[in-house]
Amino acid sequence: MTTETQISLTTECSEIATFYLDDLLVGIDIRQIQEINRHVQTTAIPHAVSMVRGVINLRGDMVTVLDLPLVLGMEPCVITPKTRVVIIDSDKERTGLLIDKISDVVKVQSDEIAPSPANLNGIGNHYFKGVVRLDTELLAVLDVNEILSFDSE
Amino acid sequence: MDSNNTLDCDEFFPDFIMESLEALSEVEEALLEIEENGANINLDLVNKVFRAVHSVKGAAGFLNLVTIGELSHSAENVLSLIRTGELVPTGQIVNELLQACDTLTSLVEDAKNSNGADVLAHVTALTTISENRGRSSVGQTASENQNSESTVDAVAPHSTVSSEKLNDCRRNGNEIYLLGFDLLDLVEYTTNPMYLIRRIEDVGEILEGRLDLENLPILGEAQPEQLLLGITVSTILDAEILQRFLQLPSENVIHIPEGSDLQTNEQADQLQSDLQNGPEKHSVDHGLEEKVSEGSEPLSKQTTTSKSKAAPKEANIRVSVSVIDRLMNLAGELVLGRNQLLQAIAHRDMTALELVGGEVDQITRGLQEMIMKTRMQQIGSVVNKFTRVVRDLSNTLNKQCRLVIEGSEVELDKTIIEAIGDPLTHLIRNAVDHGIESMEDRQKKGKDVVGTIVLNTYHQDGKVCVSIKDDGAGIDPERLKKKAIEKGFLTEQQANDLSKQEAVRLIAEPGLSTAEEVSAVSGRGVGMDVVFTNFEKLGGSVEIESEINEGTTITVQLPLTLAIIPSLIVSSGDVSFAIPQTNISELVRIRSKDTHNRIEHIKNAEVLRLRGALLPLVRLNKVLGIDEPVESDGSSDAESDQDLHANSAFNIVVVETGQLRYGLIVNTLNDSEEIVVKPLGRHMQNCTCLAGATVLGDGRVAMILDVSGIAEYEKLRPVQDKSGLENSECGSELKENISTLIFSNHPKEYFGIPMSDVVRIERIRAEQIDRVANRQVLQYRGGTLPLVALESTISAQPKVETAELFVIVLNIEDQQIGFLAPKIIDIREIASDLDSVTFQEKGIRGSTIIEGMTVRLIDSNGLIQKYYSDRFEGQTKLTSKTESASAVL
Repeated sequence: MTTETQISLTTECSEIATFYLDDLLVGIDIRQIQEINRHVQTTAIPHAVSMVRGVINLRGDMVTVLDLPLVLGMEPCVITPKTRVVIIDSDKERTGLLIDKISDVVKVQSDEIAPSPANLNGIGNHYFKGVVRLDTELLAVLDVNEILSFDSE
Repeated sequence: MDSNNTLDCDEFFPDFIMESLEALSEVEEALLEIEENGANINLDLVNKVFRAVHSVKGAAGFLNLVTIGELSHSAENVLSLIRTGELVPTGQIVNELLQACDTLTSLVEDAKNSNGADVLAHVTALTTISENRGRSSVGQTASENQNSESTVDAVAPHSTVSSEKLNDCRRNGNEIYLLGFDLLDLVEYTTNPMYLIRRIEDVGEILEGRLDLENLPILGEAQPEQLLLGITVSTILDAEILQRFLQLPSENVIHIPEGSDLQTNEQADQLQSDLQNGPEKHSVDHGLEEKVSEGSEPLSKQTTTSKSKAAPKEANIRVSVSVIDRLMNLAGELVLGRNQLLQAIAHRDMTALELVGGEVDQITRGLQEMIMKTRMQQIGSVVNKFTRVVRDLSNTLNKQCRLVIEGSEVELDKTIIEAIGDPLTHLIRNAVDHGIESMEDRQKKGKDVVGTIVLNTYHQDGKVCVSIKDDGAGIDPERLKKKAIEKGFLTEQQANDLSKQEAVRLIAEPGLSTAEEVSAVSGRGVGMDVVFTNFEKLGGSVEIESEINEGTTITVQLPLTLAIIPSLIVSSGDVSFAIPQTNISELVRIRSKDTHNRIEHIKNAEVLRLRGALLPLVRLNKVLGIDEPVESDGSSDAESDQDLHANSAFNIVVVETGQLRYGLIVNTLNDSEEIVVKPLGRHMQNCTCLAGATVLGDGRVAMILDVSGIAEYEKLRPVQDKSGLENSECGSELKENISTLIFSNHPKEYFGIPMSDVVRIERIRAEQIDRVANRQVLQYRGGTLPLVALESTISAQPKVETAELFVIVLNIEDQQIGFLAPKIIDIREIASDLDSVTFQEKGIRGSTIIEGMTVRLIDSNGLIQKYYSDRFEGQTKLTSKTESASAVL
């Protein structure tokens, strides 16, 4: 899943794992991702906000799984054989994000990241760090911390 | 704060904190023992304390923790005097030392921010003690007075400040003070006199500084006893604040009033000598004041400590090397086991697999036990501290109390040990403050003047019990009831209905306090309910027993560990939930045909009638918003109660949380399982109904229900029973609720017998009844039990002959007798008021209506008398008594 290239912290080059949400290509800095797995069968949590899909048992730890498209204001994620859970390790807590399909890992120089347009597919731009113009399409780089502290309204 | 200097030593801080805290906790115990010994100084103990304080000081110096160093230094000074025998450790001195240790402990706990903390009060107090050695032991308080007098005197009369300057200052609203310092003191506690100067300049303007030149030491000469510095200050503060701010004794702050100047200040002299006439008294008052103010904030203090505990803090634990070694071994075994397991799986070798499976099972169990062992700690680490609490408190309250600690070696899980400290302290405080009476009262009552509090820890039924027993005044249930009525918690009727036990438990009701006045220690009425809920949060339970004038025993039951809790797995819809066993009081299953009798509606809320009491009901799937399972045959309209589970039984889990009991309707009851609690993530913090999650045996995730959270969510309150027990107006001498066994003789006639009379209920076959001499008897436990059929004694319809029937065995005046009852219905609490008019007959106490049944309450005594007198007319009761007694034999 991850590449074997060592990321040097001194260069401004970062690797970004990319996924599809419907047909939107989004990416997360690979250093923030612990793993990507297929634990899509979640246990629903009563009274939780709709963005919380449920919890999974990840080797004995409870991991909250968020419906990433829903957090971003898109249609809720529909589970298919290609659906994956991206486990983010942040703030001493692990959280899973449901995505529709995994794609590549791309190397991006920091100056390639352009500020995100005010309105990206109708999604508030505070969830994005910026956009990268790839050869064929546009990659939206997600701000994981913003997503994890999403506003349930 | 010069934290910059300390930053590079960051890695040493955790070790320093841990070791220092350990040392300091020893100090406390040793100090208390030293105090007890008084003049018989046990050098070993003193040395132990000295060494501990010294090592804290040394380490603090190394880490550049100035404040900690300073405080430990002055404590060390006092200790070294005790060590050399120059100072006798009186209560006051030990007090100071203990307080200094407390401060030191809190400084050490937050070592990084300790620099700059205000410890002057302690330092001054300790320095005074070490200064005053010799004197306090010889008892020359007079010389002390003279000494302090000279502090100001020596520097006062030679001022050069012009009166214009003084008046100028006064016009600006400032006051002029003359401050006296002993430089030798200063050198003792602040290495830098500039510190003092700056501190003064913070609050005012220094007009003049003078040194007592006559006393200046000449090199090589012995040090003088004092080196005086007088400072004239102009400030806006008043004398008291200034004196507190600078930690000066009051006699060393002299106000120079308007119109006088420094040269001829008779008033100041006067003032000064006034102050010195009673310096002893002053300092004592001051001490008391401080104590009271300290005592008055235990609650706020507790909340702050618990807050700081809640903040993530890396905790350390000490584990013996042998345990670590065995853990290491087990881990090695586990790795081997895994290798074999993988191999066996690869080879599809079933026999090998079984073998390895068993092995891994054993290793895992060993590992679990070992790891649990590392978490177990002796409860002594908590309870031994209470000796000090009791000592301090009884001193403040002027009582004499002794704390006996038993079973301090009992081990409990670390998390529990940490969590019970505060609530237990509260209980101990209560025992000293409310429980133990004042010395005079105890004398009047003829008790030992010294009150005893026994703190006992022991194992019982796989749980740990901590009981706190005092021999004090006890809790007066009547007073509690009165208070509860006053504050509107209960109506008079409700209060009267309470049993003694229930009344005593009122003490846990928030807002109720029996203390006539709020004291510094307790009495605000916020305490006990917090204590109770705290213990309940830990999965524990609290029981109170109290006898007026004999004392109170509070027993707390705690689980051994929190990490693994036995739970009942239930499901609602197809989702599984775990309910901790500690919350469950019973399981009730109601067949669908009984639902209308048992489940009633009060303002849209469902309630269950259980043994006469009404329990609010909560449907789990409704609370949690889970769809009704498909089995409930389509009629998912939950509002229309007619259709509800028309063909299925109700499973009701009766749960208890604090004072509230309610029933939780679930779809299915599954196994009970030992579960490991896992916290839920931050996105689910608003789910108050859930206490966490767990992984079940089959790998599925189940939510753990928070029983009190659900009650809160549903805003449940205890149901007041109004509809069921329609008490007639007729008065009765009975006051309390009677627990009553209800049975029927004829299917339409119901009778009740007070449970207190009932010994046993036996199920027999009709042919077992022997008819001898026109009497029915039963061979019962090797004797003969006379049987009474109701219809033959009182006016009742004859019972229906059935193959099986019940015998209610009663014990009246030491003789046993059996009532025949074809059908036992229930045990209910019957209200005290009975209708004693409608059915007037010997053997019947009265009647009441329960759920539409007219129930006649049997007067067992009267009935038996009647039974015998009917049979043997003219014979006295005495003979009947002997007769049946022999029958029993």
